[in-house]
Amino acid sequence: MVPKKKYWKNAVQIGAAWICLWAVWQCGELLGNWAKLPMPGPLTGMALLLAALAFAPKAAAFMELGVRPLLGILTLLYIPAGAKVVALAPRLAQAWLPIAAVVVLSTLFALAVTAWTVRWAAARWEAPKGEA
Amino acid sequence: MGRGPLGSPEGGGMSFTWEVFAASAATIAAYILALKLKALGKGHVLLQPLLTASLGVGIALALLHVPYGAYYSAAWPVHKLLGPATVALAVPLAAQLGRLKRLWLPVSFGLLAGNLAAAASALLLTRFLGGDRLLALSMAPKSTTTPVAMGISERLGGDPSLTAVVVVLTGIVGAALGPWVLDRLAVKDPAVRGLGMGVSCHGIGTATAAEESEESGAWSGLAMGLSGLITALILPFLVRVLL
Repeated sequence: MVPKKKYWKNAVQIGAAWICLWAVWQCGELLGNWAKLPMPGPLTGMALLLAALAFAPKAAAFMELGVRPLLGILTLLYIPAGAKVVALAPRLAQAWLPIAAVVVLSTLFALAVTAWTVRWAAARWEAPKGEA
Repeated sequence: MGRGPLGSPEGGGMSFTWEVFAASAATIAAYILALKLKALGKGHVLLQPLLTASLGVGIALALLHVPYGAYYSAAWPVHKLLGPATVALAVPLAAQLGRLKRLWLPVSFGLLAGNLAAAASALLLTRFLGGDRLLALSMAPKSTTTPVAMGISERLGGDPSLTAVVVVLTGIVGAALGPWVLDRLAVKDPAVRGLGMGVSCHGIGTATAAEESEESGAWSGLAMGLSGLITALILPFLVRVLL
């Protein structure tokens, strides 16, 4: 069993991380709207938080406890979007052959090209540790 | 906040009605069942939780005659969390900053090649299989995250609402088959796996990569973010050359 004191400390730590994530997300939305960035707010927020954490590695370790459960359920968060495909299936059925073929082949092709290119280039140009 | 992840207006905002409770509970129940099903089927490719859970929710909506829009706006407690959860990807990514500094050149090459491959193959294959210009333009940005893809599609003269569905379909297909393809290609490095998933199937691929490891999820989030930018920049040019 987790000792009572530790339990409260963890709860506060998780809560603080979530408030921070929420605040950075809102900053990302505001900045995106203001600067008319092509990026959606959450991605702008991710870039902002990464820039901040680059200067405060200890903050990243502190947020870890609150971040882990959120990243663990990312798939759950996409289910409402996923159900849209079933709801709009009749629309897709009108051109099902090109849509199905392109979605499967082009997606897996892009995946393979990315993985091959990074692996090939990294074998040549990944700078050894301590050099960059 | 403007558009939700599907670009649909967030009608009613954040209310707490019984519909909100029912939609959220049903989504979570579908998720738990999908995880159980995957465990039962010993992790078979086609039992990817997002695929089975989305099918389950979609079929339930059809059987109960619930319009999709009503379900989506009621399920806001689930999909609103995508905001903070996407921001959260910066935390594991921060732990990879040292490696990113050493790997920036191969990563840039990979992202550029991957985005070119995704967009060019979608344009050419759609036309080759008899799809019209509108369909090709609507499919081309399918590997980027939904709001970005819809924006690109609109600017090119495609159909943004068709793009939104194709983007999600791309994510589901990539989430189910992507890890299997990476295994066949003997790609073991979590950074490379994550980058591939992020380029080819955006946030849904990132969710799958994060299931494999936090490190993979972090690289995938990076790839998803930069891919939106790269595809937005190169697609108008590709359309002029290829279509």
